[in-house]
Amino acid sequence: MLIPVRCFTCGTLIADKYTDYKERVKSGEQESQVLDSLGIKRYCCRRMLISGVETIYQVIPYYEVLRRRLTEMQSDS
Amino acid sequence: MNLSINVLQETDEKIVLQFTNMPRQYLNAIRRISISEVPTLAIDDVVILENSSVMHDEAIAHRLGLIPLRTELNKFVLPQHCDCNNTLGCSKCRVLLILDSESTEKTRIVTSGDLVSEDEFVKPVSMNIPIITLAPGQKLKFEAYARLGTGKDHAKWQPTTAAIVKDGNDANESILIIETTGSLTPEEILKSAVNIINTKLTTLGDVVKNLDFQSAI
Repeated sequence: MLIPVRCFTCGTLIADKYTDYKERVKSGEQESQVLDSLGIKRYCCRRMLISGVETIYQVIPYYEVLRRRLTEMQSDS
Repeated sequence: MNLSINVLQETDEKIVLQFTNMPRQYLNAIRRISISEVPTLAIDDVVILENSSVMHDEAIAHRLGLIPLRTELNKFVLPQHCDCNNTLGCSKCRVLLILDSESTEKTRIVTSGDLVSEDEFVKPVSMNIPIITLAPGQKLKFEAYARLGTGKDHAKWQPTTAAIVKDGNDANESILIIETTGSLTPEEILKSAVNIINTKLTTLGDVVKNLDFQSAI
């Protein structure tokens, strides 16, 4: 769902760097350089960010729509 | 043959030590103890009061357990060594952290920074660890109890990430590298590991001293 808190293999904290990583990669920076500058050295930790897919953001939109519907229905009645 | 230790590198989360004339097995003992037996605080019990998020209670509790908490070793005792006999523990063996969050208008990411700790020292190492994303109208409210524990019980209590012993450049030279999760400083881990080995050996020495060899025959 969300990015794992720690690296599966070595236990290094990685979750706090993911938002930063995502934004910088989106803005066109090279993945390897972003990881280097975030201080993620080992390949076990690097794969956590590179291969991370946050499926929670595929689910959340439905709840947003649900909420919007609810408020619309309330304002109609 | 005199033993000497040289600090080659020291940061908040990493220490590199160079040992000369130190038997490899002693060094490996320090390494192994610092991985599995130096205690740290981690969230252990979670009382979920309200959870309408998309994640299950258990999944959230698991994420919470993995959040590294800054630990003050001499202030807390392991729950099994505490004299309080209380299942929830006392102020010596547990720290309460609470979170009460609700997303009203926009989708919001609840992070470790939203956790409120009863101890001013015991706090998440980083304030930016995402716990859950809440869509509008969703709620998450819980009480979490952090306890001391060791890495051999669960990896969430491991104070180290990478701990390595390797050969140095010259003969009789070894390198010990300890990297931490941030819950303890490398220095604290090293000192605590040496203390633990010391206690273990003293206990062994006492047992051997009081052994009745005669009756064994």
